[in-house]
Amino acid sequence: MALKNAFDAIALDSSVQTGNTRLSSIQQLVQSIQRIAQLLKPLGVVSSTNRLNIDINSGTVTTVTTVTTMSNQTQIGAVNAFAQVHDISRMGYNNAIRGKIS
Amino acid sequence: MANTLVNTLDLPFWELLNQAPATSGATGVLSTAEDGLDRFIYYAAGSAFYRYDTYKDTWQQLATLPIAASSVSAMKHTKRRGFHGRVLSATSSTVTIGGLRFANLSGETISIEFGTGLGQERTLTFVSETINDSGVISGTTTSTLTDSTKKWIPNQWAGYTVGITFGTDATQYHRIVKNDATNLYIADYNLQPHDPWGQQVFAASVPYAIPVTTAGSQANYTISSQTFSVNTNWTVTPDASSFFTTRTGGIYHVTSSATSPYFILQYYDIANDMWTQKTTPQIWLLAAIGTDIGFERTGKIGNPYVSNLGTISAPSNRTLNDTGISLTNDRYANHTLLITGGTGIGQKRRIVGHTSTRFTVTPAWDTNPDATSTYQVVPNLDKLWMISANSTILQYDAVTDNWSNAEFFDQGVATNISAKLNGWMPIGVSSITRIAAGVVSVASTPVAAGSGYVIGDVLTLSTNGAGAQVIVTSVTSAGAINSVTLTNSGTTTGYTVSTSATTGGTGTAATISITAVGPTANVTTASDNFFKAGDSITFAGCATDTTFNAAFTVIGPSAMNVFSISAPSSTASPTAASSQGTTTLVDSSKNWITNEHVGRIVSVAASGLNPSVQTSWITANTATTLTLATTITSAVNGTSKYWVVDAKLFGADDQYKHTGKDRSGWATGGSTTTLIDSTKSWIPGQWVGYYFKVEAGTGYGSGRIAVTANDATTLTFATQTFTPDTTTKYEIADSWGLITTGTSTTVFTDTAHNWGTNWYAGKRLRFTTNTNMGTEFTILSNTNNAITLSAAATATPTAGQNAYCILGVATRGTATSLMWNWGSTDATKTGRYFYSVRGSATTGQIDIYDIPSGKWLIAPHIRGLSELWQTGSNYAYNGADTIYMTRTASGAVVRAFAYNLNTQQIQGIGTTTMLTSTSSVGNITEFINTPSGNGFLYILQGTGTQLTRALVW
Repeated sequence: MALKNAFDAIALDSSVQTGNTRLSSIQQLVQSIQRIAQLLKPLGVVSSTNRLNIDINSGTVTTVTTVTTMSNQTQIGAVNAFAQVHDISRMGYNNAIRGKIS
Repeated sequence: MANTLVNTLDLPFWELLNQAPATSGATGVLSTAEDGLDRFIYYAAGSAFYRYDTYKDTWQQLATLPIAASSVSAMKHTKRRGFHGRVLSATSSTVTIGGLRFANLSGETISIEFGTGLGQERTLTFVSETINDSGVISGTTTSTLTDSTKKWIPNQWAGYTVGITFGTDATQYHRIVKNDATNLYIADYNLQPHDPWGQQVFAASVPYAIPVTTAGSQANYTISSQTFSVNTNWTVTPDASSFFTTRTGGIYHVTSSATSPYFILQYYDIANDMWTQKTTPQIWLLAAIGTDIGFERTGKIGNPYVSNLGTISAPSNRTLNDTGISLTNDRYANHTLLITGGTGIGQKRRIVGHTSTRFTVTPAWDTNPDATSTYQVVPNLDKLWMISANSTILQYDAVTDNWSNAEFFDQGVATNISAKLNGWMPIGVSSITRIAAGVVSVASTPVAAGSGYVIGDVLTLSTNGAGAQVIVTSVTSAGAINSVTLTNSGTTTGYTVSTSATTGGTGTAATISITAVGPTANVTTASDNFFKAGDSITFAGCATDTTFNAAFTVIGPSAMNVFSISAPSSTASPTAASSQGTTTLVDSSKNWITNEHVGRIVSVAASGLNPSVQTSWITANTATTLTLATTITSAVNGTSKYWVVDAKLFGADDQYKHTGKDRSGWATGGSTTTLIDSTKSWIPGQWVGYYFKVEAGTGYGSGRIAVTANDATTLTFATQTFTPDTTTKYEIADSWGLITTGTSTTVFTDTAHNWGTNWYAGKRLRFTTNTNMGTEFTILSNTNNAITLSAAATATPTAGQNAYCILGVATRGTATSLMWNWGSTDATKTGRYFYSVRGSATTGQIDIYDIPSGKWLIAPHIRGLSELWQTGSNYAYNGADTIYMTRTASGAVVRAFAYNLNTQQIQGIGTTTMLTSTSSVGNITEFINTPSGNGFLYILQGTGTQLTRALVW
């Protein structure tokens, strides 16, 4: 429940939504990723601009490495991030359009 | 097609596709085939070149551009072009060409473009391939391959394909333009007017690298040819004069250049995966293109607009009459009339104008159509159109490799005496030397075979005459000659039918039987030619002995610029009837109507891909000679090419835009001092002092005629030798002409006008001849006959030499376009217009160019035009009634719109999820039609790699 509230509280990223444009599946996906990132922030895993790679040794933070900004992330779970978006986009196309044309 | 999508319930969906391999950047451009019915979208950026496969959502690398795009670029794919070359031989059911390796061209369409059998299209089925010769390359230049071990007959390999088949440079396939004993030439820019295709020279970079000749890593080559069967027997069997193209597709890429000629045109042959640079003369642009390029192609696409309905006849050598049609006058002017069958098949001509039943074309027919002929009216065949940072439209003729800023009337090569292979541009002849008793034929089998000879040995016949030569074509293992062929009929008279001793070659003791002697001649051409033994060559321009003005069969040749002919009727060596001069240009292969070109403009270009050009107003012409207003450096016999164009530029302004008052039409009657057009309602006196010309029909060739008076329907003038009738098409020079006084670099007068004060203030003016040629200015003000420019011209205009034309349309800016509506469903619009976005950060204006009239329809009302089409805006035509347009900005999504050409409304069709990185200039939007009738708009990311598409409905 707490998670849901936190999710709801996060404002939409203005760089993604412009005006009253309808959100496509891709936009929704991107927003979801950004929301997840926001949710992880309080846990010390993700900063607002950098994702921190933290090694924990006996309860002490020993290494902090700035990896990259979230917006430039090229992999999600060792899979090319674009390829995942691409696949989801194709799924979206199939769901939204393909069945209605021939 | 089933499409059950419903507005409001269903919304556009942008599907993210696989990313491009290269960032679009400033020079990134996309193009697919003109009808959108293609699998691929081609993509160039910098020098990189790829294609996107719409079937499989994947990218494929293709051959790199030899010259990288610079600053801005544009690209167009056309199915009308392909792999070009010379037919080597044919039977009624086959054709042999140089071809590409293996069955690459099987299943493709071949079209005979000129020469014997022109106009025929057939489908090829691969039969066989022959490796005619092969070897190791011993030397190279950028245009030659040398095999020092060879002894080839000159030009025997012209038209064949040479392939690099081993070594680091393997997989290059070039067409051989000409050859001598040891060298194969893949390019000769002196022959660019004759054969502008496939002359890509070797260059430093892959895939055009100069073959390696270093011992140990030498490149190998093969000379190959291929034979195909055709799906239907030829109606007229092609021969070695036939020039073909396959319809495998080609891509034109134009880009800016920092130095003259300030733009570069390259052509990509899809079948051969190779680019070639095409000609861009130095006069068309005088500065690098800093803004954008609008680029479009016109050609045959879709159904013909008009075709046979009644009885066909040709009342003259420039007309075609069809009793069954009823057209609106001049609706299809500046389109192409194509003879598709019967007498005159294959001829294609520009329509100067037409009445309801009769077309007038230029240049004149070679063979007049008759009742057996079938024809089609099709779009302006095989032209490219370009507009950049000014108001001038440039047209490129893809067949002749020439550019113009006005309609072409003729094109050719300056020749004193011309030697012409059927259908080809003429070769200039420098001399024809007759001898009274030369060798006409020899027995192929020697009288004494000798020994020690090798194939290719050249033997000189030394008995009685001198200079006659044969070449050894077959020997035994001991070097005894099996056969020879005659290559030179001799240089000194005295030959008799007898056995002749020989000199030369690697062996000894061969004697040859001379079987026929008679008057012969050695022809030396001004530059190398591509003629082979057996070619039929037509000469023109010979004086002293005019019997040489006929067709002869080539004996030999003995060198790339020398061949022999048998001339039995000759009595003396001919001289040239006319030669190039400083105020004359001669093309002896022509047969112009006297003074038909008066008031037109001729440009004379040097040889090469980026030639310097001289221009002049034409004051008179005979059948073969143009008289020039400007003194020029004389054209070079055989290597200067020229083009004759209208003094009225594309888009020349018209003063009187209201109905019934414009400058041109068809006469309804008249007398030797009057021309009546009863459809007009001119203002009395509006044309007094102006010149008019008869462009077609009775009175054609009368030069410029000054109007002394006019009323509502009648022009009055000094007595002429003709009486206008309903075949007479006239045009009054209302916004172009020849300067009568040059006052300064900013002010000049043309007394042949009576303009309203400041009608042209703010409009554009382009000088079209002489020192200021190619410069374009904004007009500051005008009086009734004087123009003041807003900036200084290069030089004070010269009276009687500097011509000019006023252009009504504003200059083009970044994000401009030329979009051709070939598929409009409204027949009154089909193929008629170019839609040109002005390209501006302050106005969204779109201007429309009307091809038949050559006029701009400036600032038409379009609903929803307040969007600003500027940097980052792109356009794609769907082949019907819609142009898709995009708007974006750096960091923003791309908003897409549909411009409905019928309703003249622009409405949104969707917004991408993809963000533009940085707005870029090149056109990176394309439209693909699926076979089932669905249309997808593809948009590439500005300065990025992302590609997205949406179904539009």
